[in-house]
Amino acid sequence: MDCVFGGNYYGPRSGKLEMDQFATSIRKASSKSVLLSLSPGGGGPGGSAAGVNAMAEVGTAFVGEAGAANGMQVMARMTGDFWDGWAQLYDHFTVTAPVAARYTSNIGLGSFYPDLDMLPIGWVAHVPKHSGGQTIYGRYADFNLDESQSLLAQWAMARAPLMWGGQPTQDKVNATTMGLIGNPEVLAVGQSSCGNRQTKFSANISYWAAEAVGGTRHATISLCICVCVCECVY
Amino acid sequence: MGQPVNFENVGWQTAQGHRLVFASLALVGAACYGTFMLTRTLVVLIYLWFVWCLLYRVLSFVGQVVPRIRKYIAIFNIGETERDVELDLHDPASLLPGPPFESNAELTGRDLWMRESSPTVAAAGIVKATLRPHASLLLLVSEK
Repeated sequence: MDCVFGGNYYGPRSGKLEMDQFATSIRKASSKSVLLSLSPGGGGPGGSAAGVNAMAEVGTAFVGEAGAANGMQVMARMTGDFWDGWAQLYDHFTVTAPVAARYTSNIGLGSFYPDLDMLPIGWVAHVPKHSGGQTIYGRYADFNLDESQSLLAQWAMARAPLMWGGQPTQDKVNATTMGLIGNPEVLAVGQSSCGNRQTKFSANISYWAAEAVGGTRHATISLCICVCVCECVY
Repeated sequence: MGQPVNFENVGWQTAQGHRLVFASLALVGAACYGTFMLTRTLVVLIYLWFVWCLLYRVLSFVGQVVPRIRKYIAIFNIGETERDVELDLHDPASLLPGPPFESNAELTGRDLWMRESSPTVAAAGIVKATLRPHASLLLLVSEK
């Protein structure tokens, strides 16, 4: 798979010239499957539906224009940079993820993955921070366990790429972090679901649903064995 | 795309399986010893019995291959107070994607964080939970 990355691709910088350059790069790609990753940089859409829609349209435009028939995978950032604050996560629930999921379920050509940014879980900072006369050298994410689980569940239900934005060294990864990012059943949600969407939002309760899909491999194998047995009997 | 198949009731240990095994043994026995020990009518009857058992077995298997419906359900409380939440999985107004659950199907909900299955989570097709502020419920609901 070839990868084409575009940074700061939002607002006045996302002109036709850049789109043409991306399309040219994709046409020159050596493989049929291309990952196109677009990022808005720090100035991307915040918590506005219009901004998120604009970003999604930039990403999905390539699906139609530049070779989606070849199975191109488009991953477009829906948001600006995301950090471990509940206010930002609240925006994701109310604006970003619903829009992102709508694009995901509506796209028929190629595949579109709404990038909601990396997951700030575990040890998330190195940079010394001055607060209340103290200097703090790094820290764990401010999310509590409930919030961390909601964060991961939201990303999974929206079929957002799951990219861990924490420090993976052994001295910083604790059991809680591993329990969150290493749960195979939660990780499988985004990879084995379709029709993902927010079905209802009422009084700060957000309902999401998706159709779970699996394989018929075992059934097929068993059916083959069944046929073989029948042939042997006859 | 299909769903995982429930093989619990298609093993050889079932009554249908036993019948097919007996019929197969009778057929093989008849074939080995020839018609000089059995009347032609009896051989035909054994053969028909075998075919009937085999068809019954295949049809039972095909019936099991019909995919079970499974859906991921997530409910988030993004407010600042604890809330009791409820979701009727049979209600068309719930707008669940994909084909609906069978109205008389027994549903099992698997909590993906606790990694536990429980038929009571989705009892009578209704998911109920009490969610703390900022907490959520992530379930895989499937027909049993």
